[in-house]
Amino acid sequence: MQITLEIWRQKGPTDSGHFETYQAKAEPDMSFLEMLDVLNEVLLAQGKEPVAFDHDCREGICGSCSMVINGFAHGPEALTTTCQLHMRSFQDGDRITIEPFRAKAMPVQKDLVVDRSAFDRIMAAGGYVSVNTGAAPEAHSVPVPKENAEQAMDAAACIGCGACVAACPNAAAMLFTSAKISQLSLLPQGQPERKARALAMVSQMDKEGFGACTNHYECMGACPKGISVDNIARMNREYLRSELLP
Amino acid sequence: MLNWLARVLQSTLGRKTGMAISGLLLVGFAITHLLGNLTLLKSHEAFNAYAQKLEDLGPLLTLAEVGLLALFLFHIVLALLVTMRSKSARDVAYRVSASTGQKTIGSSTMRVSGLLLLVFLIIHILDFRFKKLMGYEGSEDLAKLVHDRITSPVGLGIYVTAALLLGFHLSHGFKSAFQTLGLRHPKFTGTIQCLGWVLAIGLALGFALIPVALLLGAGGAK
Repeated sequence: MQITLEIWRQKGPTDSGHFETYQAKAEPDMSFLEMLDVLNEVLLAQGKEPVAFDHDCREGICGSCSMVINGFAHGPEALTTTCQLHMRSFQDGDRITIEPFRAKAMPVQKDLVVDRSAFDRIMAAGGYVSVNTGAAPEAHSVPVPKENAEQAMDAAACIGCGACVAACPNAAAMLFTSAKISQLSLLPQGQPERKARALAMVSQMDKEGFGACTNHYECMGACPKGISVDNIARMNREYLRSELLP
Repeated sequence: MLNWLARVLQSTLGRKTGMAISGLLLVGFAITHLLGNLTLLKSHEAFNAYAQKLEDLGPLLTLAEVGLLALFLFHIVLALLVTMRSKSARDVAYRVSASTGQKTIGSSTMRVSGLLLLVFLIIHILDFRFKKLMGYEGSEDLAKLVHDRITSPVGLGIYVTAALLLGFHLSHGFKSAFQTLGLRHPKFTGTIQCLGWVLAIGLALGFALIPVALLLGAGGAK
């Protein structure tokens, strides 16, 4: 396959950045990241700076491979991270535009690499259980309804990739924050800190400068793990409960 | 209490909650407004009698009007704050933007439809309420004033367009308000979405068809 790539190049956080056009050769069975690897080898051989992009597990669970491909976070396939996107999703001769995730709270570091530490700070604000519960109890002594366990697991599938922010017309981080609040609010272990957690995580989300959700649900469409906006409704409930019944 | 309110209204979720509650209350107002307007289809006398009943409320009417104005301002100011926040949250635009198919025409045009409705609201208040309050000539027969305005070519255009804009605004706004208030469950979310469409189409057609019906001779037109 012969592909024309338009890639955002930016030397560093303060550089203004620009698009550059490259010709790349690819096989349909290559992953999108492998296609970029090959492009980078060519660039290195030519003595040029390779395209910087985040990647780690390459099996769809680490959430590193952040990029917007032809306007879609993680590319045009549903429920797919960029590393699991394959070149067979494109046609020979296609022109593909690759941009970094765009949000003030996730500034570009270099080329396609963005700083997602805002998510870490939202987690640090309350996305954990810190009450001392002693040694692990016998499993059957803390019953969890199946429905709650399923919903908590669905929320916990969030890999924190930031596609929800990238796809949101408002650059809001509500799908991420709500998934993290939901997973703990549904389980017994999360109950003691439930209210303080909701307030602290929402407050940190605001401090980071993310936008405000207007319920387009583009986040849910872009999420490679299929996190539902049911979680955003739950976060809103948790927030209101915490503010109204402290 | 004031500190609490200030804190809640600083938060994006607090602001959205305020928009949702005020929006739903405004939907309630729009429904009563439409029901009142329907008297115009009966006769000018019925409409004037309805208007007089409202005037007879005296200080209660003033209170209701001030409350309504406050409700509109609250909804609009919160919308502006939330919009400004979101605009600054995406400081660099995408060169290529695509949709995963979730957003709708209604949801993507909320800000435009909201702003245009605000412009309409100002025209609408200047058209009738302001004239009545200032005792303009001809404002004693409110039914005639309204009839003449909304059946004139320009008036018809303004009022029918505004009705359709309201429909667009509600097609997203109504269900969105319930989501913001956390009222989402497989049991009733479908019903809320249906109700949202019924209200959006019902109110848009209701308001838009009144001038059309008047032109066709309803309410004993001249």
